[in-house]
Amino acid sequence: MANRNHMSGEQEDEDIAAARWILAIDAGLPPERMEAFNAWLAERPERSELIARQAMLQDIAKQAARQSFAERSAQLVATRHPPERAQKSRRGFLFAGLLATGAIAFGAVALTVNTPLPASIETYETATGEVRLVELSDTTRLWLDTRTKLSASMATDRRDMTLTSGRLFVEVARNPRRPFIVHGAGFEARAVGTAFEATVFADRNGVAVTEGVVRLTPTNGGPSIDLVAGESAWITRSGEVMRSDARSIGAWREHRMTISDRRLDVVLTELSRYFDRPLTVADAQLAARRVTLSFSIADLGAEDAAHIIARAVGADVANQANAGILLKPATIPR
Amino acid sequence: MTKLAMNEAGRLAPKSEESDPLFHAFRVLEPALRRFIAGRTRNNADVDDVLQDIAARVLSRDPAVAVENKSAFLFSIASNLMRDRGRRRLVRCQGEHVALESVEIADSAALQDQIVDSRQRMQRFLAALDTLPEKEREVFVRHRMDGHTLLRVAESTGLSYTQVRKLVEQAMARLARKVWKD
Repeated sequence: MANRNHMSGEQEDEDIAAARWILAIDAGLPPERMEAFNAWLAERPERSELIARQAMLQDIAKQAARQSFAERSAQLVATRHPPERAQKSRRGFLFAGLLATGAIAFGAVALTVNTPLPASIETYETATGEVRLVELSDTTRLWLDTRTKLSASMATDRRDMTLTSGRLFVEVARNPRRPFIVHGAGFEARAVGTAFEATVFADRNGVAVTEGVVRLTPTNGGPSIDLVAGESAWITRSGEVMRSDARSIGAWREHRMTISDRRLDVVLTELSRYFDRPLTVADAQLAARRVTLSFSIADLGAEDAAHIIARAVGADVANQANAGILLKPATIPR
Repeated sequence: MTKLAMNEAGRLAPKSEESDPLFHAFRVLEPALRRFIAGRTRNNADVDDVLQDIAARVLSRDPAVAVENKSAFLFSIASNLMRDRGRRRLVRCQGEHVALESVEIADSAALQDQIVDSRQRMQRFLAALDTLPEKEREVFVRHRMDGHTLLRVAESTGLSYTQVRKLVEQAMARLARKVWKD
């Protein structure tokens, strides 16, 4: 008995090892692990069969998922267009038969649905200072910058992201039949197989493209423009589209603040979003000063960041009663 | 389309193997695929032919279209190719006199057996899925059937990434043992 349990435990370990390798291979086995996999496989001939079973199991699971999808679709159609009583009982008989046999070939029968299924909607929100990577079911990758609110609606015929506030970097999984659209304040950005950044905060509403093409459409009815890699476009307060270069895009994903020739007050507004303490500048001349700088904010507090910026523009830092941090012209010119 | 070229070993390969994750998976799984095919055919020459056909199919795909479950995809191609070969032989055998030993799996009864087998496996799979512990079933369905990433499953269930991965592994192991009752 003990021996049998031992055998059973050993077999279980073998099955789990095979499952682990299949998950790793499906995710993309790094070349340096290929040797380890081949060695594991060669150790026992029966392991090839375990790998084959795990692969086939996945095929069966996907077929079952398609069957389940087809049944849900049929139920949806039935809800929208209730069939006659006699038809309903026939359908019930058909489904009972399907479940009894588990025959996928019949399960895929012709439950063709022309109306797209309702979208699954998920909402994401990041805290102050948080940068989060989210992978959608279609393998699209989203990076959410600090204080970002986003809802992702995944329908069978389209993918809609509504960016309420904050900043988003997207690597879109290519699917021409399922457009990917980001809705922001005053704009809509449509992309296929593209990487771009969308921003909605403090009068900075628009997109910057790092790969592929994005079609930006102002929601005020203005004409659409196509942006290619290296271009950005911003919706101004008056609703106009302002086109410019896209520089230093997405550095924040690595917790880096990369600023290229921007006004100090704009920089402080952006930087403040990572901290609970607001960073401001009171002097108009200082506020208009241009800043070019790159630094990591991963382990910085608001005051550390303020000092880095202050040094770059030759300003002093002062703590305020409301916990804010003020940059003011240096008392001793630097 | 991926450009094909002969590599040093004289085999078909994309110009950059790393650029095609599916071809990389094929390379990784080639020894397992070889045994899988060899165990299901009596003709050794078929093994290399089927492997070559799989490689050709993989390479002729648009690499920009991602394959979610590469292992399932590759073994499914292997099964289909073997079944097609069986059917072609059956058609040829029906029109001419062929020695019985050369027929292999090419008889209609064997093909029918495959269909019955796949139905039985589906029945077993559905039954086995029902018997899984609740959390295991949930993460398996979300990751392996609904196609959600492990990261996303972790976020939606409140479990850690490692916990989710282990639960999925356990579920896969249990299901395989129940579907292919040893």
